[in-house]
Amino acid sequence: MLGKLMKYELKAMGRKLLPLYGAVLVLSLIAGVPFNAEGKHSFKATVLLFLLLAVVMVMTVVLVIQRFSRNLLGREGYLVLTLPVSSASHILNKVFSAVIWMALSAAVAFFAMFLLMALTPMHGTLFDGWGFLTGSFYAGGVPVTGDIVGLTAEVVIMILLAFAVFALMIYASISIGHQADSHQGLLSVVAFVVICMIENGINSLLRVSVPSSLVLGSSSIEIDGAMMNQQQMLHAIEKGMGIGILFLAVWCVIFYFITWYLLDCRLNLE
Amino acid sequence: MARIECRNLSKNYGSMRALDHVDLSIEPGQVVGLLGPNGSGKTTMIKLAAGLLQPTEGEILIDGSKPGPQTKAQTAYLPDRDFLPDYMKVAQLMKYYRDFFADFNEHKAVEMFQDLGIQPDMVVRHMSKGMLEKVQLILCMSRDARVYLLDEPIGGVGPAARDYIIRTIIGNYNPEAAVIISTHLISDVEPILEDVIFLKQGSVVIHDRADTLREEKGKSIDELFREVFRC
Repeated sequence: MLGKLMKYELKAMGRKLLPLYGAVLVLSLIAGVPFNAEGKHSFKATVLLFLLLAVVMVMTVVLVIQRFSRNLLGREGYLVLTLPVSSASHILNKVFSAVIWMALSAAVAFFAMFLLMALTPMHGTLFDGWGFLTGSFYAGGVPVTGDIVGLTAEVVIMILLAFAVFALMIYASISIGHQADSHQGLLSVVAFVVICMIENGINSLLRVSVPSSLVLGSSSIEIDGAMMNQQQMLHAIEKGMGIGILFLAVWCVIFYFITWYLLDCRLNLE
Repeated sequence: MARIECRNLSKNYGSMRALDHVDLSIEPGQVVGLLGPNGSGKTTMIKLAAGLLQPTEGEILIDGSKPGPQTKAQTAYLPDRDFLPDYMKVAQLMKYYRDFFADFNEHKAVEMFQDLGIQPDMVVRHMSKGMLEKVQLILCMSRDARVYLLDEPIGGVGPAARDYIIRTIIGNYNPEAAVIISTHLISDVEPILEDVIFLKQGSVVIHDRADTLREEKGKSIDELFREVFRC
């Protein structure tokens, strides 16, 4: 059943987002390709591109909110919540779909900027950045392949979990707001703000201290007076990311259970 | 086993009591009219059976189980409002119902849509109110469910549409199912009702067979309703 729910959920969000993605990519080409012999690029198209990117980001978040508040706790809930599907499946469907579309929106934005930079005089900066990034994965001229794969996987997992935490915070807030007899929207916003404050507060209490001095050498790095070579640096980053992934997973579980409890045991669809 | 059973069922909305310690059972094969004026608790009882509300006290059971995914697989619910995604076409809706409800009879739905001239590519947001009500009813009645919960199925439509809706209900429900029709338009549904439940301010004031009531009281259910709920 979860697969079927996701099929319809992905289609419902795709109807709104896919045309926006197309517009973004077309605009990034228009902004990037020079339109006269002097090699000038369209300033207006570039501005429009940045505006459209902002619209994509905002629209993605708005749709994540709407797909939960309207599709589950609004008019369409009279159909969706009478399907022979558990509350857990409904929530997982929303989370997985939200993460997929947030990731896609970020990927489209990233690719549009990449396209723009590659086609304009900014491509020099792009190549320098790529050189720095790939250079940092070499230790004494030898590529540290295993660490590249591990680090990349951790970065991807961390980003996806962060999206999931964000979506679940929204769902928990909306579910809390739904408990009120009136002003449910306002209560949901207040709940979201409070949840953010609690989450940030706990994260701050538990966070490992950020280095205050960083010196890059040709083959070594000095952090707060401690010398590390690139291999050690990569391992330290991987360990830190592992802890970060664990924190995000715990927050996912907490917000999931808040949402599940309110949807399964305290549902009052009016 | 009763198809639907209410045990000491109560529901509050804040300080307002919508259902007050209701005890009743509805057997398979019964077409039951849940009758009462606006605010008597009819929609509340139906939504509790559909699993869209949680009881304040007591419980409601469908085939011996609390409302959940198992009971929803066997319960066809028609709300008293529009509930279909407005961007979907009729063909997509049929596919949606087929995907989620194993008891959905697509052949029956296609026939009924064809009888009404409703095309598969018609979009919900472009339908008139009457057409949308019929589409919603057809999707509901095309299921071979064990319980049908029809909340005000004939409210808000004209006389010709009401006749069609009533004929559709009677002609398409699973004979072993329990059919609950909530309405305040008694005269239109009276001919098809076997049992009636009168709800007044959240309490059951009458629960009896329609024939028995007509014999004992010497009047129609509609006349009895006007007498019981006289303003």
